[in-house]
Amino acid sequence: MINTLNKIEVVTDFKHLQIREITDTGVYHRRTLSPNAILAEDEHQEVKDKAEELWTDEVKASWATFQAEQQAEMEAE
Amino acid sequence: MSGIIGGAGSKSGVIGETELDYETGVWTPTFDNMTLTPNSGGWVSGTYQKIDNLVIAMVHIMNATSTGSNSSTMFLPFTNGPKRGTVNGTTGYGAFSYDNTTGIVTENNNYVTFLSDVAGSGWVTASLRTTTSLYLHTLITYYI
Repeated sequence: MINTLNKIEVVTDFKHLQIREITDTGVYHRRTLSPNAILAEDEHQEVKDKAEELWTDEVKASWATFQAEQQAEMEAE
Repeated sequence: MSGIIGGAGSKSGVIGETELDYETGVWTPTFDNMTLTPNSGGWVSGTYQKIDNLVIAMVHIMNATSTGSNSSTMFLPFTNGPKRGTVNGTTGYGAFSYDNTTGIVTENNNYVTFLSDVAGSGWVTASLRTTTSLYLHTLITYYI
């Protein structure tokens, strides 16, 4: 990772990792990782550790179920 | 009113007599269960501004390859507040499974669900296609 890790926020019930980094030009860079994301080999170790800690099979299943429910709800509106 | 709000990055400032939190930067738009890779000369990027509770996010995907499971869920730089946010315009080139795609940022979630109003079917979720020629430009606004 070229960017410097600045902040990891754990958001929603599904333990999404909302990451803020600082680029080599000093600009903020944000990205969000969901529990079914495949982390890059050069991902920040802190992010890998957080994912390992939080993304249990239960959380992953819960996120998949929620997605299906949300889709059904949207299409019913 | 006029005023000064710092420079790039996370600042606070004052417009008139109102103190505001302000952050600007770039972000990487990601779709659930999908990988987007820019082709030679292409882009997969986004820009955002957060002015107090208002987030304005733009997606700039040009000449990219999308792989994985087709998804209608695109993650945002900040988590939405208790009111729905909107996709204010989407320009894509065969990007989604349906034409005339718009989208909603649902309450307290951190992603856009892309939708299309299909005659006779009502709202259907519009999934990003897997393609080697993805073009997508979108403006999204919401309150955190």
